[in-house]
Amino acid sequence: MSATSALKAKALLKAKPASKRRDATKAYCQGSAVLSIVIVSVILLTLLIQSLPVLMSGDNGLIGTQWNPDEGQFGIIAPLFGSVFVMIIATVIAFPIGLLTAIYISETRSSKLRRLIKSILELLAGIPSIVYGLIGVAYLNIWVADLFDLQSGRIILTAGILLGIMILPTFLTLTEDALSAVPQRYRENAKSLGMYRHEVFKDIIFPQAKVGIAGAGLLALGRALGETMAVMLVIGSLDRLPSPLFNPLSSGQTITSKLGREVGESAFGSVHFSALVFMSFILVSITIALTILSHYFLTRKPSDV
Amino acid sequence: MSDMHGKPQLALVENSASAEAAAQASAVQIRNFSAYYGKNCIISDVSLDLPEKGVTCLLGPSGTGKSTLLRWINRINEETENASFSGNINVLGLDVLEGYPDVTELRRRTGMVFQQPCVFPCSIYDNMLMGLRNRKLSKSEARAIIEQSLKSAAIWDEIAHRLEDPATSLSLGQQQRLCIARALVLKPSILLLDEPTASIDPVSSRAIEDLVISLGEDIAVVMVTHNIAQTKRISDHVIFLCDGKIVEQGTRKHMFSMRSCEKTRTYITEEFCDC
Ligand SMILES: Nc1ncnc2c1ncn2[C@@H]1O[C@H](COP(=O)(O)OP(=O)(O)OP(=O)(O)O)[C@@H](O)[C@H]1O
Ligand SMILES: [Mg+2]
Repeated sequence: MSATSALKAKALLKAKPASKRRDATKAYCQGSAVLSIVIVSVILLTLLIQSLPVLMSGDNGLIGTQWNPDEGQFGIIAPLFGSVFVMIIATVIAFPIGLLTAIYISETRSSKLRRLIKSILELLAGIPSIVYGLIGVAYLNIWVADLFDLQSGRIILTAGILLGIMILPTFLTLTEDALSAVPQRYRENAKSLGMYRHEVFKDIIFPQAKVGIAGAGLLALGRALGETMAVMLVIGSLDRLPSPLFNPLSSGQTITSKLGREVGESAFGSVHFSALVFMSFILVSITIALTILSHYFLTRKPSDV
Repeated sequence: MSDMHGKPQLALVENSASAEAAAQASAVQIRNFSAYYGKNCIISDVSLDLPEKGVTCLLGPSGTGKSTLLRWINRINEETENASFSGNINVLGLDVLEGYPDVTELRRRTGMVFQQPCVFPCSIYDNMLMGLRNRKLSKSEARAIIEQSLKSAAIWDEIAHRLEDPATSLSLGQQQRLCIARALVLKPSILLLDEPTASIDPVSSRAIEDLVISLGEDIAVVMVTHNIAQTKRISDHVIFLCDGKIVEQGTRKHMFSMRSCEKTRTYITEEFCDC
């Protein structure tokens, strides 16, 4: 054996533990990834199996607007519509405010102001949703009723406004992160070319941040869809489509508020229970779709756009 | 104390009439200028004049505040957090630090190439277009200006066939030249170059030097460089900064002669600084 090959052999022997460690790390990561996929699949599968009774029962009226468990009518359209409607109202309220505030914070670039606002926002995002719900019942609900001269303020609009307030902190901080992540030197270079502030933002900063902003938006939407307690307290829980359809001043129902109210009343294994599980299956599917979409946006590099 | 937060001294404002008259002959006039980051004084009490035409090289060891000085001339340093100044700077007869009518206009008249090349993540052509905004040019006029600028920056031959490619796909040296070309489309009266040839090969670097010399015949070019040989080749004036103070300034002939002061001579010949 020559000297060099002996050295090589030694090096190989030495290298082994390191590569073993690397293998272990890799296996651990892969294992965790597989585990999380398995958990999600098991949840979806369980929901699907539990919703079989209602799917198999013939005349169930699932794709309808009538909800009447005693007569075997389980229309999911009204709560589904309610969920989407409330989400849209929340979006319309939260996104413009969130975006404009984020632009203000990130482009004025005083890091003191930025840190202050961000820490307040993070506090707000951490408040339990039932607290928002109580505020909604105690104040918002009454203000809305006064404003539109209604008997009760427990309507879709109130739920939408409340949800908008709830998702605002999340959306705002994530959007601000996306904008601040664009390096300062882009702003300097653009300004040194005699571009105005708004041009710098529109043509240089926003194109680089929009991927992150889209991700922030989708994450906030997911939160809006999944929110239960606060919505349940202020939406009025009426299993009917509003009339006219896009009337935000009528009471309504979302999938989550429906589940929150009725799961306790229905017998496990009954068709009624199964219909509720099916609704949650739909909700989870939408949320997962949104999450996957947001991940897609968040992990894409700006240069791919 | 109030000086540190951007208020010029009252006396200097009152003097502005005579200052304006003097400013006619010089493109940039810096008086009693100090620059700070937080409480650190980076440049202290500097006064200098940059002639309307010609190449001025800014020499000095690393960290003496050459970039900082350059960045205050077109006021881009006000974008930096906790940067402040005292004193005043006159650009083209107007006080830029206090009461300049329009910073955007100032920046259009002073092109700037930063120390680190930074291209925008869009196509090469769009990068060049950024400086031509609000000019109401036709497409062919814009194209002609862009082609001209790219040629001047010695990069046209390399990228003429790929103007629609993303600018980030260029090499660092190409990006640097693109940044120079991008500043040239402004047709500035003052060009501020911060080590523009630092990451460029000798051949393109010579092309940039030629460009700087020919620009120097019409406009004021200020160039920071660590390359003494380059300074010798292209400069009309040399300013030697050390520790935030001007050690010596003068014509190239003076600075490279035996008449320059001791400190300058050691720096230029032995390339170390004993100040
Ligand atoms: N944003 C900043 N915040 C705080 N200090 C800074 C900042 N930028 C620069 N400085 C400090 O100011 C001093 C001068 O920096 P400057 O970049 O002007 O040096 P320079 O002469 O251009 O050096 P080089 O030749 O290495 O480019 C340095 O000591 C640096 O640490
Ligand atoms: Mg520098």
